[in-house]
Amino acid sequence: MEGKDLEKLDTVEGAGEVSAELQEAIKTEAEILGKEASPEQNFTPEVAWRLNGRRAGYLGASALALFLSMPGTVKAADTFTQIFNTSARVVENIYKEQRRAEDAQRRAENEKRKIEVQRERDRLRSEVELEREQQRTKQQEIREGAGVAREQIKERGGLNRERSRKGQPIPAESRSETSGPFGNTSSSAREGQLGNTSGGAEVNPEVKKALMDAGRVQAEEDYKANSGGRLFVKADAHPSWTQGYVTRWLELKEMEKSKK
Amino acid sequence: MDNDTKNKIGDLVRFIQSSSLSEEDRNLWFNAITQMPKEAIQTLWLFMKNAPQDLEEMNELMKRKRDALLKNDVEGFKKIVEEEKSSLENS
Repeated sequence: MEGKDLEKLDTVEGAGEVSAELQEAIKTEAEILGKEASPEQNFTPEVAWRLNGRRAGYLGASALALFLSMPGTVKAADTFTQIFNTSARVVENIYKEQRRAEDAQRRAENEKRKIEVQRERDRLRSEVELEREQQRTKQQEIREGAGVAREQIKERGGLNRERSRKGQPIPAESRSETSGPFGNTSSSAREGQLGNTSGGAEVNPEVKKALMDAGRVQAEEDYKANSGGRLFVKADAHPSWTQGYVTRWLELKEMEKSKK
Repeated sequence: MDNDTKNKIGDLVRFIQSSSLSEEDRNLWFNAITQMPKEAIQTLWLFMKNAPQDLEEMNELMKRKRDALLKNDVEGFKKIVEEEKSSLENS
């Protein structure tokens, strides 16, 4: 406390003295209020603010009470000094404690922000990892699927087109609209409805008989016209027709021989 | 008196005058404030800034202390100090 202030206090008019016991009580109060809060208490700025406000209020109330009850008493000077010195200390402590609480809060907020940033990084990392894992699983499934398909093809004796090339039948269950580059085509359609001239699949028995009969008729005509000479079958003649033609030619020749 | 203290006194006077305290109580504060050294003014100003909602409680406390001092009631004053200590510990 400045000397000037003490001088001013001494000039304040008032009555009464502060007893030694009361001065001791006021000193005790000043010690209590002037005591700095332990840093371990970790006050939030709000609590520090409120607590110090009350401390300042208690101290201010004492100062007010002293001024109102015994202003200017020379003998009270020590008490006033005690109060004002305490006031200065309390004010200093209040600022210090509030700064400490604010620093602590700032540190806690920084820490919280760090944790949030780390959490966000972890979340993003997990998402990327999950995406990679899904891609790996998908690729694995594709590879396994391809392996199974190869096994199935191997089990049924190769691809449909390979089986077709070898003249092997294609199981109905393995036929597919997408089994070849131009779609599935049945073997009969590929071979032609009227048969070929190079030993393809036979037509039904009635047609076969008709073809043979036609060949036989043609053989009789040719045999008669050729007078038993050399026969000649065209390359594109149907086998059944040829069969009828040749057999009839032999019969005619046999018959001619037998006639001879 | 420095400008800072003058400004603080101005703040305090406006605060007290706009409070719900009685006219008599307001004048108790004004009279004391005009004679206090700057340390006491700064203390009251901090109280006003930090805990304005406690004004009525502090006003009653101030009057009890004043009465204890006027009557030289040591036990009464000690009791108030105990209450203050307990209040701070429980805050």
